Amino acid sequence: MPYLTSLRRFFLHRTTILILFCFIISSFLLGVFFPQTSIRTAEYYQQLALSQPKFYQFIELLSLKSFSSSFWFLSLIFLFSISLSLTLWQQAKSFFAKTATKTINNERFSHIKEIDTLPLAKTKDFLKKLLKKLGYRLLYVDVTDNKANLIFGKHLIGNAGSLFLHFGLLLLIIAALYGYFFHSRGFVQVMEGETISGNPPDWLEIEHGRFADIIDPDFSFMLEKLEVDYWPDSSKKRIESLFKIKDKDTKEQSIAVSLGAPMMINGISFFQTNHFGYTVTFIIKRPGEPGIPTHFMVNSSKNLKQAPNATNDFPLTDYIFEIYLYPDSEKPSFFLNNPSTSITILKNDEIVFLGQMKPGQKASFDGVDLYCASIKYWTGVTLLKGYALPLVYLSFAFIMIGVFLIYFFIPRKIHIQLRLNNHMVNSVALSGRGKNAAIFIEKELNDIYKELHYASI
Amino acid sequence: MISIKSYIMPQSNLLQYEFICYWTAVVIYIVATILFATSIFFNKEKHLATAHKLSIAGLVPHASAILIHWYISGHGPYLSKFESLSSSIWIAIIFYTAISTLKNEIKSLGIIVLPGSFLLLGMGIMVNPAIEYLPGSFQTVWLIFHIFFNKLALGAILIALGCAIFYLLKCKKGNIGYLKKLPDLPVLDIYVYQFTGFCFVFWTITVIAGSIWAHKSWGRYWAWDPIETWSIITWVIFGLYMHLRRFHGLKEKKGAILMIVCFIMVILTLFIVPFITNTVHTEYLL
Repeated sequence: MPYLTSLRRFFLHRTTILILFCFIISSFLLGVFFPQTSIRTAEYYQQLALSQPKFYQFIELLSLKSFSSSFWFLSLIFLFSISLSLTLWQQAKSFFAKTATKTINNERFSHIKEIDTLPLAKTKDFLKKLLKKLGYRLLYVDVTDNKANLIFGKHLIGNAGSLFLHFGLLLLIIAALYGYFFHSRGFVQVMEGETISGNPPDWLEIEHGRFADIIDPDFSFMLEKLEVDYWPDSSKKRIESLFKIKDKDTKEQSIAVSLGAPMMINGISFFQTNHFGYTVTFIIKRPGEPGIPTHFMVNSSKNLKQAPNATNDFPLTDYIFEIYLYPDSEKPSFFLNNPSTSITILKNDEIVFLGQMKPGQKASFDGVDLYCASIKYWTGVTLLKGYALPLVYLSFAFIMIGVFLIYFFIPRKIHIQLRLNNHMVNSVALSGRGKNAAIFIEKELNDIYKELHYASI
Repeated sequence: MISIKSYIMPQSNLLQYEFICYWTAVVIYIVATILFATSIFFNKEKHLATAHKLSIAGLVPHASAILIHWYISGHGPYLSKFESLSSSIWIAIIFYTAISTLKNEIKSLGIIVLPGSFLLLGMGIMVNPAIEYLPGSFQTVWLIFHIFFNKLALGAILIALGCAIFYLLKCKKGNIGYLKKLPDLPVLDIYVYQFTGFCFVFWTITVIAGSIWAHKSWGRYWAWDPIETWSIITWVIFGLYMHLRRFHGLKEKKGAILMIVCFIMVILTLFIVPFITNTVHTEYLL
């Protein structure tokens, strides 16, 4: 079909490829100059919408705040993929095809040497050994009555460089698209002793691709223990969570997840986040009524001079709690060791309770009893599924192999023509060929020429 | 077993020695630069060899300073701005001295590599050289690959830049004065291509190692962070250079100019974008 041939020529044309390159660079630049959702918060966009409504409308219209998932960018990648696939097909065909290397009668030889008449076989052997020393191997021999053509090649594997690179790129695009459409991710805060069963309401943040469901692991996990280490300047050195996993067959296992060292369970990856803090559990009990427990999440502080603190209302009551936590009541510390809290309880902007409490202690105010049940660690964990990581890593490997081959194995050929007289060689002509290899070939031809000059064959 | 640390002097003394070593390296690089300049502009052949030897000599106090800082901080020289600058320059100079020892004809590139190096090193010393500790998400071998190959890429592009500048100068002024000592134009042209190619290879590894590290730390191998985006733009421009060179015959003068564009992109990504944007790289990179 002629239109398919035209389309194929269009996508393979060098100018088309260059234009696609330029469009891709431009789209990346758009992603740089317009703030992206991956690095900005929802509040930022709300403020932008209020302060610059027309600009925000423009961004929304073209999906510029998430350009990588916009229709126009995906279309561009689709067009690029077509061009890449056709290029790959063409390169693969030419790489694997058996090419009969034909002698070129009008080859322009740069070096021609008259030599004493010598037997053809001996000359061939000498040249093969000489070229082998330079890293060449014999590809083709053709002998006629008055000429013998020998073609040697070196670093021909470099021709596969583009093939590997383009295949790797295509694989990466496929993996990225698969991840985009089929991934699911959830972030959850979990405190020590708490079990998360994977129900969506447990997740603080959920994200999933268009063809994926909300992440719903077929197992529950409980944070058994959180371990945190600090550097002398109070920056975090290590955060490690020990989880107990229980799947639907009630099989239990323990896994340790730390920063930079995720674990995989049943196809779901656990990532330890940098978030951690303390959970203070209070129970308020009114006379004759069951107790109301509430967990207050207190973020860890950045330095020892400042006690971790939080202010929040107590659900189902009119009370607002202002909590200052002292992980170690004897000295400033990040580690829970005999912790205590300093609490201010407000009702209708009036202080109804002010005091210190430790876990297990009870206080009474305003006709209610307050129990400090526990003070434990909490941490943030991200669960992730469906990013086709093996495919991504495979594409990386192909890309790296490709660039290595292209730049470190520059392919070249040397054509040696032995001119014969009665089956005896009386002159040798040399020429070389290779893209971006002119100076290497020139040097090698000079070396061969010198050897022919001085050697006795 | 006696701890090796019992033989090492107190930290405050070590910091003093580090400071002395850094400034010694800066002074040696300055003297080498002067000698490179005199060898080129006043045709003093011997000064070129001396300058080259001084470049190698300067690496010794520089390396000592880096090792002292490494010992005190407990991690490699890739965290703070100061460490990043210092180690990048060290790698760039090592790259230059190694290549110019193998290929004598490009020794004069020192006139481009050295001044930039000592200025950046001096700037790094003026930036707060305090010890910073390694966050948990940075304790991975992939970060080391990411940063090591990034520095190799910087070294390679500096040499390619030098070759491109000399190529353009030789095109414009011909074979006069110091330009006579440089390799011929076709040789310079192939060097531009080769060293840009090396930079491309190392840049590819940098991006890939960074992606793997990002995934292991944050569960995302690509988040369109400004540095990530600029690094991929730079990578695509390298790809454009490759295509234009191989299929559109863009070599020689135009190739050298495009190579300079690639260099500008590298500098933008490594040294300018981190200053003007707020990313995970800002704190720990230039």
